[in-house]
Amino acid sequence: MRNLLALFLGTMFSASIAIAQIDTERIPPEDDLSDLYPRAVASRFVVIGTVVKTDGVSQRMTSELLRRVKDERDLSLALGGGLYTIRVESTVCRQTDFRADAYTSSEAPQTVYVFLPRDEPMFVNGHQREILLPSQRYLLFLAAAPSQVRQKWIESFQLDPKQDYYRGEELSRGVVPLFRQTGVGFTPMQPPVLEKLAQLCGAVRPPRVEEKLAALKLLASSGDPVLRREAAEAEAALQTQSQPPK
Amino acid sequence: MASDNPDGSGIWRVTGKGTLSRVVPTSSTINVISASQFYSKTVQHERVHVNNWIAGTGHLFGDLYNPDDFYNQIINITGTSQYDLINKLGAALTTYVNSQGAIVAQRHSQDEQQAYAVSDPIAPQYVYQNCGRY
Repeated sequence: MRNLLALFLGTMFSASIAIAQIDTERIPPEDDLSDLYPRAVASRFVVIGTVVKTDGVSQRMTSELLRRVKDERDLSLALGGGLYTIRVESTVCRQTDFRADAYTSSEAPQTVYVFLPRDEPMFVNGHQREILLPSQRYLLFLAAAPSQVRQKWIESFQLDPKQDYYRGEELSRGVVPLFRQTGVGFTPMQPPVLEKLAQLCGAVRPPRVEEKLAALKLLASSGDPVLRREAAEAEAALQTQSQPPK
Repeated sequence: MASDNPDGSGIWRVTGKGTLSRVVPTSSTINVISASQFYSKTVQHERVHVNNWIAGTGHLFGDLYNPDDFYNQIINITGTSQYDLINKLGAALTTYVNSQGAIVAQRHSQDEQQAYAVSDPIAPQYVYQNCGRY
């Protein structure tokens, strides 16, 4: 009989609790409508998609981590984070469309992955962490993780090095819940951000910068104060880009 | 607790719960100064959240992060080495914690409704009351 070696599973469930202070926690609809252009242009894609799968991702086990798990009798040291698989229904915005020189823009992949590390504080730079629910449909402002962060994640967690991993642009602000189509002939009222963003991004879809500018000018002269403001900002940015260098 | 198989096969298995336990907060951090007229309102609100984590029925999150549930999920996991077993248990724990977190997120609005139902009636009232948002 081999020696009986004991290993305590010293795991404590440290429930991660989103205890809100009494003031606002979710994003009020009026805030969804501000900064549309800066948020869209900072997102690689803005998509409509549904969370089809959630997986727990653990840390890559190393001899050092193994030693700590044993010494500290705490299996929770191996916890990594949550991986959310999003089935993309449609691409609303493409970052490259906001560039003056973009002639070839591609749609978002049919499946995208959002990874939320567990060891992150609830608020980062004043933005609350994303909350993604299984089967929920969202409008998602997707910001790709910076390359150093992605590299660190792949080294630290059991993630596929071939995949891109996204976060919400400004974290929870980039995650806007949408209503589902619940029956034939009934179209639920969606948050107004969806329609405004679709119009703004639709204006910059044409490949030629002249067409983009003409469409933005039209939006900027519309009676809608949100579209007027955001289109004027996008137009100014495009014009700056398309000016020849002095 | 885990051990290699006493029959000498070299298989590592889970042999007990060890120190596995459920640890939840028993107090809240209040970021409103104690001299504020809104202090008591905030304390009462946060108290509801804390109470919701007490284990057992009658508490919104009392059924979650249950050590027995998790233990039942890992009891039959085996490994070819200590390293292999701990790696598998780490993955199982991550999946379990993630699944529990998803349930917490689904009940989040209910948690806030309960907390605002207590804090909204406490004077002074805000210009806008929050319960309607959840």
